[in-house]
Amino acid sequence: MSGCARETPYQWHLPPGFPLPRVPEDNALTVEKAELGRHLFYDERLSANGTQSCASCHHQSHAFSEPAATATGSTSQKHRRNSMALVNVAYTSTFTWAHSGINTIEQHVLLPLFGDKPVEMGAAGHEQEILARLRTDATYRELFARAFPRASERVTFDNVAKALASFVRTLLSFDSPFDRYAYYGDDSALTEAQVRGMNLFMSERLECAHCHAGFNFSQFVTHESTAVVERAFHVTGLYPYSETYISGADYGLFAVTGNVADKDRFKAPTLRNIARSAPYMHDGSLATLDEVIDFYAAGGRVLTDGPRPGDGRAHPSKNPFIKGFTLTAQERQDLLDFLSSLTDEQFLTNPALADPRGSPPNR
Amino acid sequence: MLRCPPRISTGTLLILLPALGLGTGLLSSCGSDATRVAIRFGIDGDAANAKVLQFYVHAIELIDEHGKPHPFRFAADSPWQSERVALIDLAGDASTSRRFAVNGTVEEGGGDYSGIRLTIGVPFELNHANPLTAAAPLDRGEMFWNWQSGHKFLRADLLVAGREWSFHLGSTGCSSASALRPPAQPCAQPNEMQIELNGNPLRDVVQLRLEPLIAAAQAANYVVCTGDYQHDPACKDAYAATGLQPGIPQTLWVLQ
Repeated sequence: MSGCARETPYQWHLPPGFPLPRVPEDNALTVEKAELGRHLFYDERLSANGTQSCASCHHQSHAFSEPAATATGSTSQKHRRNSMALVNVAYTSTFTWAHSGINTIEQHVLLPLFGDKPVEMGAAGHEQEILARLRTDATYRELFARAFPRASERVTFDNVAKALASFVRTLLSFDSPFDRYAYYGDDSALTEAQVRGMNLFMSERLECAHCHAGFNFSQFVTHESTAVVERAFHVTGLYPYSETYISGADYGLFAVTGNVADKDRFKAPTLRNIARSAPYMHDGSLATLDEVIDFYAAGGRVLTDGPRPGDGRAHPSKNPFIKGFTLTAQERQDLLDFLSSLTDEQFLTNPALADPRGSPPNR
Repeated sequence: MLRCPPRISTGTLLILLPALGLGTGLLSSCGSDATRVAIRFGIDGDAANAKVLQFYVHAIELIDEHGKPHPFRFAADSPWQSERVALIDLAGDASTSRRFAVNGTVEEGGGDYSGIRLTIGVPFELNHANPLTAAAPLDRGEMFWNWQSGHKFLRADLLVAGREWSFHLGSTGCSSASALRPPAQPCAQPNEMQIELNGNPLRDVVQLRLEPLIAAAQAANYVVCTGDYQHDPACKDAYAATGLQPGIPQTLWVLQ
């Protein structure tokens, strides 16, 4: 197959007028790379002990997140954070829940592969062993040859990362009822309740759209025509401010920058397919969207027990838009209905994004 | 104002400008009777208080010593300005770039200018379109609410005594089928700030004063103001400073 090397540029399927995502110059997006990446994404042999793939924590049916509150790595080490949904990450400017310096998917995939705090896939120290598994597999030999026809050395971790990033870049969700209303101009795509809920979502009373802004419902968006990449990490009031360092606590961006003002700052994740990606918040500590609405309506959370008791509402760095609100029962239902309009069934069930070995998407 | 030396080309002149010790505030383009000028913007106050200070400006006129207005023509200069409207970005994240001027031309013959008129806002016919398909500078998501409300004309996110406070000014009372549909008629409160300032706009800097905003943040106990400017108590002082309330002069802008 390597004799007829042909790299097929990937065709983006975007709503009319949408800007193209930025793709790194050294990793042009091709159909062949994305297909190799899909195989790798679903392959447990990519973890050192052969028990976990990317898809172990990123389930298509959950918008490539998982229903567990926090993730568990291949060696059973607990991650302290909730697996993020992978939706339109081709447009994401900054990866993970709270990091200011991971700006490409290529960079990001190295974290779960090689990270040791906690161990996720545990590839560190097992690189040659993992690559040997791929080199000895005839299917992979062909997939790598198609994806990287001009490379002298094909089966490398650099190419593994490039292929994984290419596949993840194709996880595009723009076919929700909301998209048909917003970007295709279809007035009938949303119910009256969903339109009421959308107006609430966009209102100054609730201020949801301030942080969950733009077409990805997240401020961390970049594309071919963005001049400025906004990176706004926020304190929501999920935990109280603590002057002293509490062992095991997750202080978000502070861990990266060491700046006290960054304590408890996390990024506002996308809300696309949010009704299918429970539980919520960086540590999965809110189980349902009802609980999330309660949380923001109260302007934060008061914890009476656990390792970090106290009044999150009074956090000195709390985002000023999280000021609380009241909703009638009807308004709450309208808001929930609107959030459900962000569900893209096609994305959640598309066989082209599923395990190529054919296991059911609902793993 | 710098006049055109008749035998020097524009390109040569632009190269000569730094050598002549001339700053970027004053540029001359030759070969026509239009003069290239830049209107400069800045902060009156401590920039350390500002997390975000951005605004849109359009409809600039320079007033000559006889009181006659001379229209300022915006140069197309993406991503910061189109021929209709410009974005000014005075403060924020060090990893991104700022913008402190609007570039354009003004017809010759104004002599010494003694004032400037400008509008802080976005023309209605441009204000309510899809920002994803809008031309720069109207493609900035963080300056857009939604189709119904349009753009934030002025976005001030301040840090006052360690606390965050925001004043986002734009049109209110915009009527349409939903937040994601544009209004067909102008909004009930357009809230475009039409400002006239005395001074020489080619020598002086249009400055946004932080003092009224800081006072407004403290008076509102840091409750943010992003809409319903006339009724929300959190908006009272900040809105008064804009001059949009009849009978109350603006205190946000000076030319100095």
